[in-house]
Amino acid sequence: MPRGLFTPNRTLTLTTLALIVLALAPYRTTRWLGGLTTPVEFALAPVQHPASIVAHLLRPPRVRGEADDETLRALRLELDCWRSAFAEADGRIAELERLLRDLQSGAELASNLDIMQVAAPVIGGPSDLTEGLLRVRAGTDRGVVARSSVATTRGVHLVGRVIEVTRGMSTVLPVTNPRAGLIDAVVLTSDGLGPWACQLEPAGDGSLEGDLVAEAQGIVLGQVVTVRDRAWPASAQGLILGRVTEIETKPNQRLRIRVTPDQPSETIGEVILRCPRIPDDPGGAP
Amino acid sequence: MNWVVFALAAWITMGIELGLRPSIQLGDSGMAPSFALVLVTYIALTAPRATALWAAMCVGVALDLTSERLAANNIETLTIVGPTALGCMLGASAVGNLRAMVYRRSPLTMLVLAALLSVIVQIVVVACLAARSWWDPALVFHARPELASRLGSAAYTGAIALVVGPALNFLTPLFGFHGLHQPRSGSAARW
Repeated sequence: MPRGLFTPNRTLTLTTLALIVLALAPYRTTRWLGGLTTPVEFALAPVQHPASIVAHLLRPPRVRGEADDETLRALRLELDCWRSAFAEADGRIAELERLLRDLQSGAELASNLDIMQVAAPVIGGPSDLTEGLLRVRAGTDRGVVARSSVATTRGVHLVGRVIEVTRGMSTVLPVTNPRAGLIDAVVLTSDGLGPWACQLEPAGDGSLEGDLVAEAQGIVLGQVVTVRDRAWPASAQGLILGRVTEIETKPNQRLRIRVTPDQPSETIGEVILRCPRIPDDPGGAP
Repeated sequence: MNWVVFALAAWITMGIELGLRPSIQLGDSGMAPSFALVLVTYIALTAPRATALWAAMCVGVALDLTSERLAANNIETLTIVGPTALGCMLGASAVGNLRAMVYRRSPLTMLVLAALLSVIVQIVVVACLAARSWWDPALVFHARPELASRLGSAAYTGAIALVVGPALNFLTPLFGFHGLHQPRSGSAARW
């Protein structure tokens, strides 16, 4: 080897050229680089986690429209739990009715998945915040499964879907992110006429908006909106998306609503992940 | 430069950045300061040129590896290594060229140069990703809104440098620099 082949300047130039190639090469050729993120995240976690704790102390999670009174807060949480349970049961009845129809026509049962809950701290987002993703400290080691698991706050408010999982970390795409797409939901009304179906899409400002079915009536501000979307995993059905914060009557007399989550995704300090659990799997996370 | 001290400083600033950024961003605009880029500015302002470029590349690669983008199918994340690293190197080079003209002890110097370096980094990142999105179907990228958000982050980084910069200046002896003086001639070989 000729002397001086790898001089400092030449090495720097070659490294720069390699970076240019990596920066511009299509993803199918650079997919392997994703494997390097885990050790880097693992190395940074000891500083990142305390920093995120400090961040949440400086900017505590705020829940929109919630009073300071402890009793009222507890009652409201209980009410939300019951609403979520009602919506889940209501959705389950609709699902069973559909199953019954399917069985009658010879269709097979869908699945026998059970759900487990995993509490995990949010340790910030990726260094690039423009994508609006959340990073959560729980991964395959605790039974989290990509795309079949969802993140919630307080177990009943949907935050988003887990889109990527490594051994100790998960990435959540919030339901309010413009890239999350459409979601089917129902508005729970107290007059017994509902629930009314609607299809919501992210508005881009942390809320969701969409049209209600034509026959919807009795919609008022503050009503709870829950998920009923077969494109989402079973663990997401019945979870609360937020409350109706704006109602608009369109020229065709259909109602358009804006739904705002109780807690903005950027202030969430901890989530509860709802993950599918196969009953036969003895190695399921606690 | 003492690379162990640099690695420790990079580890701490990166960890603080990842932990704090979501909470100190302006609303949900994605505009948030970068502590790691302030470190790169400080190194570019103080270290020999080649050392500064290597250090900038290391921080840039770490930032790239911790920066996830949503794939076009919305169910995968992309890790793209290179854009931030190249931006950091170009930014460090620009700061290195300017350092003879500035008064380094002034906090305003850190403010201006950190903002300038961040602007260069963000422009390079946006340019790389925009170019790549033309032929990479996995990447969806809208340059204009991203550039606006990123330039806001650059200004925010400059503001944060007012606080972080003096703290880093305080650590100058630990880094092995000879005060805030011009590096010795021929020191590029000390990398």
